[in-house]
Amino acid sequence: MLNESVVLKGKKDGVSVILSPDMPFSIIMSDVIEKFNQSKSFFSSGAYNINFSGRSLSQDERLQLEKNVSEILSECEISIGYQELESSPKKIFKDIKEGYTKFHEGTIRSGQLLESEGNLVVIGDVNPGSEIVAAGNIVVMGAVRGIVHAGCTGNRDAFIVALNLSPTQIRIADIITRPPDNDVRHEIIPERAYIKDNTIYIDEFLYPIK
Amino acid sequence: MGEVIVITSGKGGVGKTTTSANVGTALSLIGKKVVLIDTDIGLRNLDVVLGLENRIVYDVVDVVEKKCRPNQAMIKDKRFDGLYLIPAAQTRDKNAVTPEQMRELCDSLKNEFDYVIIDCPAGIEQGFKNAISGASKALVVTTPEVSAVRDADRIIGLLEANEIRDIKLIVNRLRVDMVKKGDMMNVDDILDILAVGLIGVVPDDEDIITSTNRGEPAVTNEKSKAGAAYRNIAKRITGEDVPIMDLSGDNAFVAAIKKIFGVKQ
Repeated sequence: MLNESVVLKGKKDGVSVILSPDMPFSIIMSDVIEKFNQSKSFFSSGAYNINFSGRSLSQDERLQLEKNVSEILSECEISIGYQELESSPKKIFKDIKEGYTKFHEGTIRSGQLLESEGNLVVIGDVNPGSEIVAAGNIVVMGAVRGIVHAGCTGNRDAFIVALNLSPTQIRIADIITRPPDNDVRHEIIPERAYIKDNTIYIDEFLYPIK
Repeated sequence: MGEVIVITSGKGGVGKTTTSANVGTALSLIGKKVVLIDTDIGLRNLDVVLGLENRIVYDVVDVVEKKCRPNQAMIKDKRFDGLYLIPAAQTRDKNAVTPEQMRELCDSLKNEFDYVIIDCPAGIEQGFKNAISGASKALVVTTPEVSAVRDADRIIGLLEANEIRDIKLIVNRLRVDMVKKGDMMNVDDILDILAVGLIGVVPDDEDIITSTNRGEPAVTNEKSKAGAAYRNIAKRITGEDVPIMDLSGDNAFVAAIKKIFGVKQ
């Protein structure tokens, strides 16, 4: 039962529909339609409260649900409610020392968006107008000139390393910064961006020579 | 109540974005409150031309999808008070926005601003339909080339079909030396074909290239001829009567004397 994407429960004041938070919405939607079609005989004409819970839904998703459910139960008077998930924020990705990492070879060009659910290594350049986003660390073996966002699910310990770090904007977790307007760079050295005291710092990143 | 003006052309590369940036900046320089909206989703440029690229957090798609409030997506210009930009999204496409959503956005913005200026993408597809949906006025940009004029004509037809009656023409990148030699269409030839009101003639000017690359609109450069032409266009938009600039290279005083002595220009 726990593996089911949609669970219908009859209650005194109506029906409670529990949706799985892990499955894609398209599957949830088709399962909701199926479940309601199966139990259509249960709903005689009359008034029902239908309460969706278990996952947070966007405005668009809610409209889709309402449209489909009211189509199936066109005989009944229904009012639809939602129970907001209390701890809805996404899990913060913590495996920045060891964990899921995506490797990408090639240039990320303007208009392209590269995302990783874990760490991200780009072997190539990140051009202006493009965006790379990772839940963990980002390492770029090339030049970063676009927007770069590390620790996007909220990990403030995430860092960004690049051979040439000249981004349009740097974001780590919830902090956003940009280079000064008249930033003239003379030499290109590998650099590392990280958060210290709620501020993004950038240090040169040279392997210590002993 | 403000005005919503779309800047369009049909053909690419004739200077829509440059015109938007300069007209918007010039209007803010004469004290108007202006918001520029880039509707070229997927190929945004206006932010770069204005030098505001690195300030973008939210964009027009986020606004219409209600992921943020319009005020959150507005980037205040770093030089001029009263000038704001709502940038386009770069990692999405034109279908991310519908004409209805754009109309709603424009309607809400014109309560707050004197001018809402919409930078339209090239072409006549979805992006164009989005851009014109909220507008009540249009500035059509063309260059003195047969192909650009042909596309401008098509655009004017489409604007009229969409109930936009207030259409004004900007002739961009005019080269007086070539017109004099008869190698380039002159403004009258263009007006003959398009039959709409002229609101300005912008000379071809190298300053535009440097100012675009630097992210500083040419209207801020007192010496730029194109900048002066754009400042005049802004004044005409506000209703001021400014004569079309004499681009022959002589100053007005010399021209007046020549006229007195009957010297042919």
